[in-house]
Amino acid sequence: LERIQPTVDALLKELQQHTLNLTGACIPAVDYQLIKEDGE
Amino acid sequence: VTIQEAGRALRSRQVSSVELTSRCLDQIAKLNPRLNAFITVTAESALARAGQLDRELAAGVDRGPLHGIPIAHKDLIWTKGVRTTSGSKLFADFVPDADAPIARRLADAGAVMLGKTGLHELAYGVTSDNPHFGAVRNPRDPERSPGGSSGGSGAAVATEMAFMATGTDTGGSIRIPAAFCGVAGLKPTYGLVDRAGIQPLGFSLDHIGPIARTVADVRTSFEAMARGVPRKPAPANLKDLRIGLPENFYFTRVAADVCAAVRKAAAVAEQLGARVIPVQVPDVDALNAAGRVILLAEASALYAPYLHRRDDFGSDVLSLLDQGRLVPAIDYVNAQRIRKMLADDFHALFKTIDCLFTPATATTAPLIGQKQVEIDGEMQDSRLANTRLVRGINVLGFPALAIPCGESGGLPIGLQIVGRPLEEDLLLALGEGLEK
Repeated sequence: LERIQPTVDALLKELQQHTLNLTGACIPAVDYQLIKEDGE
Repeated sequence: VTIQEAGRALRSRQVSSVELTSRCLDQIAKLNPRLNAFITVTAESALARAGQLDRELAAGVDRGPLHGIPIAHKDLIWTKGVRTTSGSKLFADFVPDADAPIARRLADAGAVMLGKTGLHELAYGVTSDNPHFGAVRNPRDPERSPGGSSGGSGAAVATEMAFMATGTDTGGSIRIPAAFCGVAGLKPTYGLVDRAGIQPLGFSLDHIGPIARTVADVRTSFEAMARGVPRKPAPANLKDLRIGLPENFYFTRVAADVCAAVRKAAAVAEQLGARVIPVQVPDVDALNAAGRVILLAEASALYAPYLHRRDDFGSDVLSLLDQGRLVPAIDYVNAQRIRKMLADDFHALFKTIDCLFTPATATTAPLIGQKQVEIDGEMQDSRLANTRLVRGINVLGFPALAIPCGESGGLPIGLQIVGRPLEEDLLLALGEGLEK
């Protein structure tokens, strides 16, 4: 944990720099899938 | 020899599928001990199948351009009765009782399966240095990595062990081996090739596609792999095609010889009649951060039931799976929100261009075991340096083609051409034009 926590923290900090301006209109990509997976 | 050339020779009876298959098996016998491209070789069943396809052709049954063509599958694609390891100790003895639909589709198209190619453990990495099955080696220099995770597929195709090999791509795993091995690889639009029966890694990032020696061979294979979803046809010619050449991100922290080769490819495209337009791309650093967070969380969710078997994982994969358990739900959700926002931004960019030219990797193939690469005098993490140009395209789900565009020090350099969803045919037409 001591070894990997700083790695994850650094990544999350990087991500969070980009989440500051997210508006309520930015919804998770529930409509993302372009094509229905007929084999699954 | 290309798939097209082999197909012509088959139909004019200059060669048989048994002969093509035997040549590939000979090449595997000769080179696999050094390159370790295959985990499993199915010589006996391949020759039997080739014989059957020869008899069909003699009787006038022609299944199409892949009829009698020897291919290989990345060893995470289920193949009925043939061990499918996913490069993992967890699945070292797993023998599927059914084919993945994509394996069935290629078999129905007449392809002959030669065996299963090596990969990074669980496809979770880009070196193909596998702790359980050994390192796959780069055909140009066996001390170097073939890239990954579909490293065995790249090495097998580059050395004519197979005409085509399937790959999967969650953060560059088709395009990186294509670039490092000097072959062509297509990551199609998300969802366009059926993922059923294929060991997942990142549920919302996984793509399946072909790796082959020429763009035309990639096209032939892709046509057989893709679902019957309407795609936009390729333009009649390349004249006035708008190629975006990024002014930001894609040519920074990239080796100078790689940048030069990609710019030269853009100049060649211009000679073919395309227009090269300098563009500012949306925030790819944000896209990459979102992609890494999404993959950490999705892969760890998938492998949570196995994590008590810690000795069964290699250290790099175990570390990533442990990291994924530390990602809060808030950050996963916000990564998905960033994804949507940036997809909108990229769609807006693609209203002004038809495709984007970028390097596929920041450097040529690193040495096996090399953790850092030097770019412009600065040391960078090898994995992050060689995924930062490709990962974001998985987050978008847009199609991307990697093709060779030069060499440096005897090692291939890869060009990445990114297009709008369902416009693979434009990428392939452009790739074929450049290849000529």
